[in-house]
Amino acid sequence: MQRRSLRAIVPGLVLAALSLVLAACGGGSSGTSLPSEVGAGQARSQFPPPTSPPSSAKKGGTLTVLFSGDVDYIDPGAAYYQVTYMVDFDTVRPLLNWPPADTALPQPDLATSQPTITDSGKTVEFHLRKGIRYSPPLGGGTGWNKPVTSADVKYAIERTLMPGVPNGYQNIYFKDLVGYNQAVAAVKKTPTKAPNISGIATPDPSTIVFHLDVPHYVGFAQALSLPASAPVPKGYAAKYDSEQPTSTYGLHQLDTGPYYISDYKPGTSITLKRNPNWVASTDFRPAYLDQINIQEGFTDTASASRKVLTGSDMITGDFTPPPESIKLAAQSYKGQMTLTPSGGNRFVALNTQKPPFNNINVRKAVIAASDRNALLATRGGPLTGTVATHFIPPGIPGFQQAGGYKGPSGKQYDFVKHSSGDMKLATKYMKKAGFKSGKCEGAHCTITMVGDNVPPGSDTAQVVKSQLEQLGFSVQLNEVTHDTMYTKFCSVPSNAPNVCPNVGWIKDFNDGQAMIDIPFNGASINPSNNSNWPQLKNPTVDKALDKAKLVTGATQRPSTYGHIDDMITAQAPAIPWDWDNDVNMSSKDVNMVINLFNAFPDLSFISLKNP
Amino acid sequence: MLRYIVRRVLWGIALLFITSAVIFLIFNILPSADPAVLRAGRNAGPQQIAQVRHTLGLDRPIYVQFADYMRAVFLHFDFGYSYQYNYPVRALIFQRLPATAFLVAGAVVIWLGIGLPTGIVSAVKRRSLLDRAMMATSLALISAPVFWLGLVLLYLFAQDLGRFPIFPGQGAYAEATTFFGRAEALILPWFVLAAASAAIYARYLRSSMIDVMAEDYIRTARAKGLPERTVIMRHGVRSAITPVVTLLGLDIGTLLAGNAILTESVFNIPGVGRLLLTSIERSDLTVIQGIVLFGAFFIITFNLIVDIAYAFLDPRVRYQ
Repeated sequence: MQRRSLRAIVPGLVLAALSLVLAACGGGSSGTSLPSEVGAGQARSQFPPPTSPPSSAKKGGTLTVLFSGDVDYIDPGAAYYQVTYMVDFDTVRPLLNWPPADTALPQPDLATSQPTITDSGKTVEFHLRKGIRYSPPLGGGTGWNKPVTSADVKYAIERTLMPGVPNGYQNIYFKDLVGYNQAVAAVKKTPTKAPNISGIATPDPSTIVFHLDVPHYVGFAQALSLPASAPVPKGYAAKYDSEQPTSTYGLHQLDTGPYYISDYKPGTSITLKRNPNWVASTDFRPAYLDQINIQEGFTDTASASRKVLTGSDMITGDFTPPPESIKLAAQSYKGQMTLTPSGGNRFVALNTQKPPFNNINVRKAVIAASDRNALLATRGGPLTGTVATHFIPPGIPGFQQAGGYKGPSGKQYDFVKHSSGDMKLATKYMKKAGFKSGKCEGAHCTITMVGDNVPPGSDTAQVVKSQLEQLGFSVQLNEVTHDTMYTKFCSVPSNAPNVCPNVGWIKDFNDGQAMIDIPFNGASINPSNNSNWPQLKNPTVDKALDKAKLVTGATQRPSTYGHIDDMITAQAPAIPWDWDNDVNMSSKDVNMVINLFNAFPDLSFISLKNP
Repeated sequence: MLRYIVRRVLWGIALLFITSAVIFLIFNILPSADPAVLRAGRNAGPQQIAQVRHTLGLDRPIYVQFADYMRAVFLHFDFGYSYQYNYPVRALIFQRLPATAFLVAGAVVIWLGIGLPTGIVSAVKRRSLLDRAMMATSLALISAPVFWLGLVLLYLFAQDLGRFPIFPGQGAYAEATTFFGRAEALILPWFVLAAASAAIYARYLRSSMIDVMAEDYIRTARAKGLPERTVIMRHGVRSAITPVVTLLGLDIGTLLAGNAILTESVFNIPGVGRLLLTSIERSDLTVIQGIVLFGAFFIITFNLIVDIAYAFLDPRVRYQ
């Protein structure tokens, strides 16, 4: 290092410090400075996600996965978070599962084959593999040495109704089971005991039959690919499930996958080791690694990303690297980054139940005026996502049918055509709404907005605010923590603001129903924990969504949901602005494999180059 | 002296009780989020939320919840369950406490080892070039934000990220399995945490020493022919150090209570501070309550230790 005078060094130190502070703060509003002609599709094609291991993949070694947060619940019966599935899909065996390259239909995992569907779609029957055994328990102690039976799968689903197992999707996907309502009543009386759902029959230890009230079997069958259908032996788990106020089964769980959770320190680490009772010949997963160490708490995602890129045997886990890290990887570590459509969207919800956004023309004006490229830039630009033109994202059946990347065609969709915003068109819609000047004037122009208080969410909220102000709105922005934003404001209809800028939806599975039913169905509006943030209540849309649940067929179902997506877009309930990419990074000595279902690394398929 | 200690301990218990009540009221009457909704999970319907609320006991009258909470805390040392981690709060805090304690202990040794001699030398050699250099450096260290200093040191010296890879970097503490491995992982965090405190202590002690060295008894000690070193150390420092001891007690108490939040976050040390940060982000009210209570306990305890230490340090202080 050359010797320099103090005067020359100090400004340099100040600038270095400033840049480090910006790096530490996430620097959300600076996009990547890619050439403008690189479109989203081109950007993504430079970093394709590998979905199979190389032929030279070797067994052995320990992989380190860096997390900034934690799983939502370590109990697979309660898990409802794509990041948690990254762990669960390697440790438990639901009836169906998703090999890395499969996005159309889940493949049999615990089941021997796809279900047999009879009785006009109301009976769904699975046969289970024989000889599947449980791992040693997390936390030590005597486990369960009997093989997995159909009764274990029945119990696994039934326990999700208990308040001590807070499963967030059983009331959506399992509610059509015969006897579900009676089971709900029973668990209300005795919350410490899993109720019997009479619609789940186990005629023999290897057969499980689901009887449904209505033939909603597509959504139901897909939901069986989620971890709640992974077997849980009642004789072992009941004592943990009966504990108050919450079940502690998760801290003593038994696993059936190629790995099991050998150690869990909440917020600190999760250790996965090879399941000694797993039989490779019964499983589609190769399980190359000997051990996986998940290290949590890397809140400085810039440093963590850099640590992965320059280090050894590491991958990023649950966080999206910040824009400057994405830029660094794109320029200097090209083979170590992948971009995968996440199957999620982001939108700015406009409260359709109160003025001024109860007027469809005002909503259309806001969408027309919005510069969605600027919104995308707050998350890092074209590498991190694609400007959305409707609500079903790429990769989900119905996306192409809804118009694909270009969006729905037709004059009635003109307000969503211009990703940089069209003030002229916006003015036209404002005039149509009765504002002669083309901007908001009068009583309802002071509007409330509640957004995230940390970047990039706070950056997005600020951009939305400035765009609304261009249309004459006076915006009172309240920035709060993410949980407060949802639980006190945006998800509570009685307390919801006019605008919720930081909302979005990610699929539960690859189906249009999983993407647009809950966020836009009037019937799903709840007094709390509401996920229909625009509070859209359109009878035509609601009827179409209810009818669509019964539609089957590889062509007809996507077409139906694509059409409904366009119907929703036409109602302008929200500004669709991002179809996310998941950005994953790995060290140079890792053979990365991405599971397209959840767009996260597939730990059972990843291997090390030098184990 | 014994009566004084007993009186202070009883007062400390009363203070803890009052603190518990205030904390409970703040987090249960003015919660930042609905814990039943958070616990029930995404998409839970109203019935599910109501059932979770009932299971958690949140639908009972507030005074009943308060009585149960105080009974659990004071009689059973039970701080409840984390809504997010599904784990006993006490176990969570005890899991994190060793990391924080190790971090704080090492930092205290460093900041006392640097701050005290610096303060003494600066006071004795007042207005010299050495004094000016030391005070300028201390001002810079006080002004430097902890997280900035941490990141700078990581980017300079961490083995995984640094320009000069000498010391273990981010996450090294969690990876270490031995005592010495953990100590090595804490070298950079110790210096980061100690930097500002060393500077503050140096300035405090310098100021206090300057006042004390002007006292009559110091002049008398010199007049009696005592060596200058004895005058400074036995008479000067011993009197001048009492404000520093007060500060030390408060600092240790607050750091153990989670105030090392920035250092722990930058270096990814799984301590109480980081637990507090994630609990605030996730509105995990029971954990926040538990940590605040623990914090109050540490602050009260260390204040008591400091007050007792006065009696041994300063012969002018005698407790009735």
